[in-house]
Order: sequence, then structure tokens, then C-alpha cells
Amino acid sequence: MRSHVRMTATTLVFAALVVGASQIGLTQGQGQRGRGGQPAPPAPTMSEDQIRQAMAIARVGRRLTPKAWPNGAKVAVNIGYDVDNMGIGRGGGPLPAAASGGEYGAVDGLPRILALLDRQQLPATFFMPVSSAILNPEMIPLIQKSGRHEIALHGWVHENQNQVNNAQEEERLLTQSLDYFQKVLGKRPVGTRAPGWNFSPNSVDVLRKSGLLYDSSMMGLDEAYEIDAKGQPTGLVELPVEWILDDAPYFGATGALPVPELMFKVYRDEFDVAYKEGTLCMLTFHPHVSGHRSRVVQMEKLFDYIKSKPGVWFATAEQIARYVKQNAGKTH
Amino acid sequence: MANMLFTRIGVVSLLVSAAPIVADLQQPPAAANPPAYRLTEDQIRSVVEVRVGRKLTRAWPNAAKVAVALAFEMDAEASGVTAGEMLPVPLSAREFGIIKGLPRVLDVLDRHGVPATFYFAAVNASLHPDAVEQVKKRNRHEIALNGWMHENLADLNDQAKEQQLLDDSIATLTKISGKRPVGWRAPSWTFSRYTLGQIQKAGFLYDSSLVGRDEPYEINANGQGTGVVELPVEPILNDEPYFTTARSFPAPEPIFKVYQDEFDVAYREGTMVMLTLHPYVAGHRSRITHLDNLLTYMKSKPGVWFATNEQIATHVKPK
Repeated sequence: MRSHVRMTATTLVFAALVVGASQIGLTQGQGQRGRGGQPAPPAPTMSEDQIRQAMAIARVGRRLTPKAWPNGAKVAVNIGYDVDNMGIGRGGGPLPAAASGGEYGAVDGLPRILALLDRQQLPATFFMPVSSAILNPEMIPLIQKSGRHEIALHGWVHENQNQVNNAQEEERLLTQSLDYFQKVLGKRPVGTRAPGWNFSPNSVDVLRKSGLLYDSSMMGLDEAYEIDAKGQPTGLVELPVEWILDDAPYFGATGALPVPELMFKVYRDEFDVAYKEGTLCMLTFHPHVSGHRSRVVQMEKLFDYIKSKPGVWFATAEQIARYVKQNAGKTH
Repeated sequence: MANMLFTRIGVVSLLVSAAPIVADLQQPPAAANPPAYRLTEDQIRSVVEVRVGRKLTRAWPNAAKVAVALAFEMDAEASGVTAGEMLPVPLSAREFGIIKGLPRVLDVLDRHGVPATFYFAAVNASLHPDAVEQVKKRNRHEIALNGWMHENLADLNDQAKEQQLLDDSIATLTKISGKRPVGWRAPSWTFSRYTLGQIQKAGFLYDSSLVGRDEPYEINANGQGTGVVELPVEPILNDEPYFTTARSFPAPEPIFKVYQDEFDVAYREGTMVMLTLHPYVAGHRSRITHLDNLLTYMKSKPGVWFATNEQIATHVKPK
């Protein structure tokens, strides 16, 4: 969840220590256990054919960067917030301390971010697990108030789709999520971002059938593209994300907590090159990570910098996806 | 003391090995625990039992603009042992915190004339009654409780054992400090699902372990106010996540600038800053200088209320 997960290594060592108290001399040192938690890679026995099949599930298709952005803008910028908050599907349980770190996102983080976006008159896209909307329903009218922002899907409870890995169940969760937002927004979201940026092998097919306009979970290019599946275009617009432009790997539960000024310089460098190349810059923040006081100070400076350049199109992911889809075929 | 310590570990170990490490307040039988994505809308609504309640920030005394709480966690050898540090070298780094770090910290606080709250795990206080005495001698600081030996209560996950540790901790710290602590900070800022009920029953005025806001609030359980004042902490405003060797070990200057940014926004918003430092981490020469500078900066602003956590909690607690 967040801060408390930082203590995991210590925690596990403590558990190991107390369980093995009779062999107390064996439990010295600060282990790295409990960090990362990556699944073991498969045995290297796959054939090239099998590897090709795994690759074919979702590939980079046509580049969708238009010849020109609206009003002759040089670059499109989407400010995205993944409103994970308590993210109860991310494993662990909703114990008080960890849950409070998530709830911060709803109670203090989001209002502070919305105030910043109002001050700067910027639009943003809020990718929200349905569980976040259920637990803090007051967030929805707050986001809707300015009329500038988009709310898009981010799973039912921030579940890892590859752990669900069942086409029928994934379809049920997607339909249930769309129905929920239809009910509370009076509008069906048109885009999705996979929780944890994890797809199962079924996800692209499920999305294609759902009629959603865009996805924003993949990393095949740093500009808009169409997803191809099994060699065929799917019609799905991909607005790719990137860990470099996400706050969680730096400042989230397992992040190294580097100097924020330097990290925001990285975001600025990413923007500068996107500006030069005339493409797209997708920023990903989390209200429970970057809604903190010292982080919003940096966010404000970043937005000030981007706004100081002529010809920047700040837009919701929906606006960008619609624009690139309409202008497809006019690429350079 | 060392014997007592190891006896404790032995007792805890028996109970931990019998108890499953399950982090679920609802605690249905483990086998029947469905994956979270199967939860329905209604189930999601009630799955998180402990929530942020009403905001308690009110006008600060003497029309101050912001409250500043300085908290020092006295994680001496018992905390090191609990974290798996059994050998002489890491234990000496903890010893440093008591014999060099703490006097340096107390000296800086004296020079600035500001109060602070010192959190002791009971065993750390037992190991260093002289440290407790040094803090007490200033007549300005609060001594509060940080567990028995800095145990992780979620991992312990045993109601009876946790109650026993809490009772023993209160008795031990009361005996050493001469005053029953009114404040509680959970070791590693981690609650089991029993912690809230137990500290409420023990009559603590406040808790300072959760991170739901950056200003005081009441803790709610199942939609009801508990009367427990929360003075929230935050890893951003802690030294350990940066400056212990397992972490990124950045240059201290920009990190103390982060603390300053947090203060500046709190000042503008009229709320609170809770800075958590550890004498074994921040008591080093190159870091104490930055603490000194930070306090100088804060004191240069008009209307800053430096207070112990007890004073802040007493002030915000609904009458």
C-alpha cells in the first residue's frame, strides 16, 4: 500500500527472528527479503514459436501521432492521476496504518491537486478503481466540478489482471466497472488504464470487445499508437505510459525516496524531448503519493515550466485519443 | 536486562509461530477468503474498518499559524535486535544514538528553546534509564510510548499477547519516567487489527502512527468516532526512509529542504507539521547541522507554535 510497506524487510526479519528465537545467532544482518516480490521467470524451455505467440498478443501497430496537434500545438500533454488510494486489490489487507496511507489520497491529496489544477486551469484524467469511488464517493463531484477533467477506468479493486487471468471474469469486472461509473457519472468512461499496468493474455481481446476508445497501460512507444493483436489492427488507441514518468517507483511504498527536485527534472527532460519531437507526454501521478505538500510544490513548478513553452496542448486522455483517431492516416 | 529481552523474544516466538500472519480486519476463515476482485460494492464499503474521521485542527493558541511537533524515536538496541541486528557493529550504531546522538539533539533543542516528544519502546527505556533522565531534566519534553521492544504488531497478530505487551510497556515506562505516558506511537507505524481497541481501552489521549491526513483527526472505527486523537506521521517527514544504509542515502540538504517545503505549505494551510527524527540517524554531525538550520528557519516565521504531542492533542481534543 504505502509507507508501511517500506518497513517490510524489517518486519519479515522480525518475524523470522522471533520464530527462530532458539537459533538466535542465525538471524543476523539486514536481509533484503520481502522487497520486490517478482515472480520467478519461466524455465528457459520455450520455443521461438511460443515466444512469438506470447509477443503477438499485443504489439505496436500504426503510429498515431498526427501531422499537427490542434491549433498548431507542438506537443500534447496528458496529466494522469491514478487514484489508487486504499487499492484494496493490491494484496495485503486493509489494516489501519496502510489503509490510512491510501485514504490520504482521497482526504488531503486529491483536494490539494484539484486546487492546483484549478489555479493553473489545466485538464487532467483521473484513472480510478471502482473501490476508490465506493470508499470515498465525495471525490467524484469534486473532480467533476470544474468540467475540465475526465474520469476513466482503473480496475474494480485495482486487481492485477494477470492474477485474475480468466477472460470471462475479466469481462465481468470490466462490465461491472463500466456500469458503476455509468450510474455515478451519468456517462460511460471511454478509456482504461490497467491496474499496476498489468495485462493478462486475455486483456486486449476483452478491451477490443468492450468498445472502449483507448487504453493507457502499455509502453511500446512514447507516442500514441494503435494496438495490433495477432497481426491485426484492433482499433484500440494506446496512449502509452512509462515508469520513468510515474511517481510510484520513486516516491511510492517501495521507492527509494530520491531528492524530488531531481526527479521532477527527469519529468521535465522527458517533456523537453517530446516537445522537440512533436509527440506526446503522459505524466502519471498518484494522489496518495504526490498529493503531499512538498510534492505538490514540485508539481506546480513542473506545470509552470511546461506552460511557459508556446504551443503545448494540455488535454484529457479522451481528447487526445479522439483527436489521434480522427486524424489517423494523416501521419507523417 | 539482556536476559529479560531474550526471554521476551522466546515468549513472543511461541505465539507468533502459532498465529497466521493474516492482514485482514474482517478475518473470515482463511480458506474462505475470496480474492479481493470478487468483493461486491457493499462488501467493499465495509472492508476498511478504521478510517479517517473528523478533522480536529482548530485555531492554534495565541493565534499561531501552524503547530510544529518534533518527535524523536529512541530506537536503541532493543529496536535493533527486533530488526535483526544481533551483532556488535550494528548494535554500536544504535548505542551511538543514545550516547552521542541524544545529547546533540537535546543541545540543539535547548539552544532553540523548543519542546519535543521522545518516543521510547519500554525495553529501550529500561536499557537506558539515564537517557530518559536526560530528557526529563529539561522539563520541557514529553516522554511517550513506542511499544515493548519495537515489535511489529501486525506480524504478532495475537490479541492476548499484544495486550500483555501493552500492559507491560505502560507499567515499565511509567516506572522509569515517573509518569504514565498519554501518547502512543506504534512501532514501525503498524497496527494489528487489535491495536486501536487496546490503546482506546488503555485510555491514551492520542495515537501518532497513522498517515491519513497531514493534520490532526479523530480515528473512526466502523463509521463511529473513537475519541482517539490522531496526530499523523508521514515517511516524507521522517529521517529513516532516507538516511539508513538500506535506503537511498541522499545528500541531506535537499531532504531537509523537503521538510522545509512541508512546513511552508502547512504554514500557508494553517495546519501542523510532525517531523520524526531518530538520534541514531539524525544525531550525526552532518545532519544535526541541518536540523539546527531548519529550526532557525521555522523560528524566523511569526506565529509558529512548537509543542509536544500531548499539548497539541490536548488542545484539539473535542471537549
